[in-house]
Amino acid sequence: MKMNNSLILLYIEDDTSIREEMMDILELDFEHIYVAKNGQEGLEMFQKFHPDIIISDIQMPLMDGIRMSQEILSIDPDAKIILTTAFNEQNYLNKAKEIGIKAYINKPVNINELFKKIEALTAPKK
Amino acid sequence: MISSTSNNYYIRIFLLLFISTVLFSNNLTLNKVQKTWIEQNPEVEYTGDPNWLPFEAFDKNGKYIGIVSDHLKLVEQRTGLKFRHRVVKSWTESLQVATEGKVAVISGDVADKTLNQNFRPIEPYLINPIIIIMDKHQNYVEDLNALKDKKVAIIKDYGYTSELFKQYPKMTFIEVPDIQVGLNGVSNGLYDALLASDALASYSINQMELDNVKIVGKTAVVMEVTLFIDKKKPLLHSIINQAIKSIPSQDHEQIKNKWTHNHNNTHANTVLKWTVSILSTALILILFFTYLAIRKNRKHLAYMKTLVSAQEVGHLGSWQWNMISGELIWSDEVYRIFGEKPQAFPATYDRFMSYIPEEFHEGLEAAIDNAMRTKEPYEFDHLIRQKDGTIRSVREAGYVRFNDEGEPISMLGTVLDINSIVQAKSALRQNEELTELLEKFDTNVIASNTDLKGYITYASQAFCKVSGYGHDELIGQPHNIIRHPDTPVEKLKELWKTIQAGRTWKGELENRKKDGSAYWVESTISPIYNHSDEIVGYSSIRRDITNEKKVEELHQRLKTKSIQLQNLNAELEERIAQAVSLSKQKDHMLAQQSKLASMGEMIGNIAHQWRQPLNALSLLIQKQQIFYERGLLTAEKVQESVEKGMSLINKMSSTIDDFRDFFKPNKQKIYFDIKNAVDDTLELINAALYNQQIKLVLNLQENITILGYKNEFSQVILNLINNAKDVLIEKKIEDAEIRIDSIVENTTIKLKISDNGGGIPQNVIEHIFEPYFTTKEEGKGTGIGLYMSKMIIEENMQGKLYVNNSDRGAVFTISLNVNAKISDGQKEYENE
Repeated sequence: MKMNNSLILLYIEDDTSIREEMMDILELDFEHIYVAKNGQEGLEMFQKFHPDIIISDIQMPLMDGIRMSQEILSIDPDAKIILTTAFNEQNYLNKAKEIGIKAYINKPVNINELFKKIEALTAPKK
Repeated sequence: MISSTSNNYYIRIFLLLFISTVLFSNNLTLNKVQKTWIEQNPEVEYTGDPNWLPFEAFDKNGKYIGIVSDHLKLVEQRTGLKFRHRVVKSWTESLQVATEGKVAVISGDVADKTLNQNFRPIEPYLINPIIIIMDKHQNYVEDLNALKDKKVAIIKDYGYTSELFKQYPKMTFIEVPDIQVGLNGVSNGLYDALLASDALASYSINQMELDNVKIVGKTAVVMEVTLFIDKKKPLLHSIINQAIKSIPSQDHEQIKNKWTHNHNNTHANTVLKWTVSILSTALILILFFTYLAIRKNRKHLAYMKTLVSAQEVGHLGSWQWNMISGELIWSDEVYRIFGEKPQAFPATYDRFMSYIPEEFHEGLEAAIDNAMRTKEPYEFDHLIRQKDGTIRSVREAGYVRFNDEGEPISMLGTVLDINSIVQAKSALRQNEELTELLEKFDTNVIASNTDLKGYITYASQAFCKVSGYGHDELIGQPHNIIRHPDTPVEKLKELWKTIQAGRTWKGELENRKKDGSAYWVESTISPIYNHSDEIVGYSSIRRDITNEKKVEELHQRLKTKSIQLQNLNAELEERIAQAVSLSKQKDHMLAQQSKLASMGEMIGNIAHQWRQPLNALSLLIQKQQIFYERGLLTAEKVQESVEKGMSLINKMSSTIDDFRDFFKPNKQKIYFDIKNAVDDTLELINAALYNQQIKLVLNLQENITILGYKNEFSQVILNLINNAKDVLIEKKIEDAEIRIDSIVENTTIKLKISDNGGGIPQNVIEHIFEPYFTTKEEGKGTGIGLYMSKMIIEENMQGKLYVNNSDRGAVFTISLNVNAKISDGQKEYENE
């Protein structure tokens, strides 16, 4: 699989192990990756770097993924967000749909599936 | 018989005159030796009883007074001796003084054993009968033995008591300390009778102003008052003995009367008595010469004899009192009535009064005064007491004669012995009492008589009343008119068989009133016999026992009820036992279910705990493939990945261990630190709270140790936090928060687990600790958690678990005893 490595990517995850593993993989294909440890940081980085795509966890301290997404969408309604969700986070998922988030991916994350989602979201509109 | 009486009469008068001359002469002749002895030993040490009036005593001023004292004064006058009175406080002290030889003379009862040892009595100068004192309504007592079954009191330790015991061996006496106690006892009914010397009794009754007791007779025992003289002083003995003997009997009598009758007005009395005494002597002389004159006239004498005999037959005595000359004449019968031999001594007013008990003096004198004033005859009934103590009733009647100037000149009167009349009256009164008793019987006792065939011949008022029949409705009717139809025939047969055989039947019978209602009686039926011992009818007395029957019935019912109750109780106990056993099974089941539920929750918690490392592992593994595909997988990369993977797996494994430990049951109570226990528990649930964005605030005091089952305690904490978490999630509380605070008060720690979920509704809060009570949606709660938590804290750890609402939300409080001391061994156990 070959990704458009010119894309700017924002990755938000509070768990260090997951973040490290994910970064090891993402760095293979993306040159511009920004990493945040919670929703607050994520929101600041979004405002600063205007990423093309955002991948975020939901349950995080300070500001969770849902609220952060809400804030981002209020700034840029076209912002492309992928949320990673667990089986027991159905409530959050419903809320995510309500605020207009179209993409999510179940945990444990399947990398191929993640890449497909990124590709689908970032494909130039014809 | 009549002539012999007359002859005796003369002899007696002569004798009397002679004796008087001898007695009045007062010739104490002491011999030379005696006189010399007196000159050399004029002072005689003397003591007596300090509290023995009228005999002797020391008055308020320490002056020695009484009959004995007056006698000693006469002895002093006659002999020239001087008695030095040794003042003592008690008779015991007197005896002691005498025994020690400190006195030469002591007064006492001639029978006194102590005194007789070292002293020799002179001839007794005062003989006092021991008399019987009883209630004033008591009739004359002839013989003390008649009081055999009565409570008879005697005064302790008197000289004559041993004589009483000897003479009345069948009697039992109650000993009292003194005359006052004895008299009061008779007066207030404690004793039936008291025995005491006549003088002491008369004096004390008067002093104590007792008006409900009287002297009713005398015993065969007398007390003889004497003076004891030191055995070593025989001369003194002879002097005092002679001196006492030289005192004329009038003086003895006078002294005695002064102290027993009218001791208040002694001087006036003495004068009067002497006057009367002299006058009576003159009177006797006149009488004597009169008789000599009368003797000449046979006719007159015959008339006199008839009169005397008539008087004797009729127990009527006559008297005549010349108020000018003071002359008083008694007929023979007056003497007889007074218990004396006819004309045995000259009659005097005082002598007359001495036969009359004190209590009648006033009345008699008032009657005479009245007669003088109104010039009407008087009549007065009173008692007289003969010298031997015999009491008789007499009717005194008399009238006063006046001269032309209206001055009283003489009195004539009669004394009628009405003892038999009084006895007849008493019989009449008894008859009246009997009648009264009969009336009481008739009105109060259910009684009836029947003839042989059972026809009613007598029905008491009480019977009429209880049966509801009129008297006329019962008389002549068969007795079975009141028979209750429920009465068993066998019982009636038995009744008739018994009474017809001449025996008495007793039993309970149910009777029927006129109005048909029933009443129960306890019946005693016996045959009535005529003079020929033939049964002529039957008599029945009955007692209404309806109420008792009712009580008995109630009692029976109560008994039955109580047995029923006992059975019920037993049954109840059995049921409770079953219920308890069921409850135990249920509890066991609940515990199991609770454990399962907790495990379910634990798995949920494990899922939370594992989610992140699982995700990380998953990425790690996928990374291997990606790196391999791109040719980037180096040995170093593999090595690094394996280490990371192993680290994640170890973390997950330790989570499993934590949960496994948590469910390992504790078999023994251990000491553990509360904060550690809570922290360990939070390890298990932290992830879940974190994931649900519930803030946990801990405010726990360190180093608080309690004794108990640590895992069970942790389960309770976990359960309470889980509940709070569930409520916060369910209610979608923003800024959800769970707080755990500890408050230590003395030996108690309170752990408060609170949330800001808004609290528990009132209708829920009271059932919250009941098993199977849940507010959660189906499948989410078992309703066991809080019940089990309460059981763990309250049953297993002797603490308290309760809930209340704060303004933020629910507050669950665990209250436990703090155990300060932890031994090392226990700590080790805790760490295992």
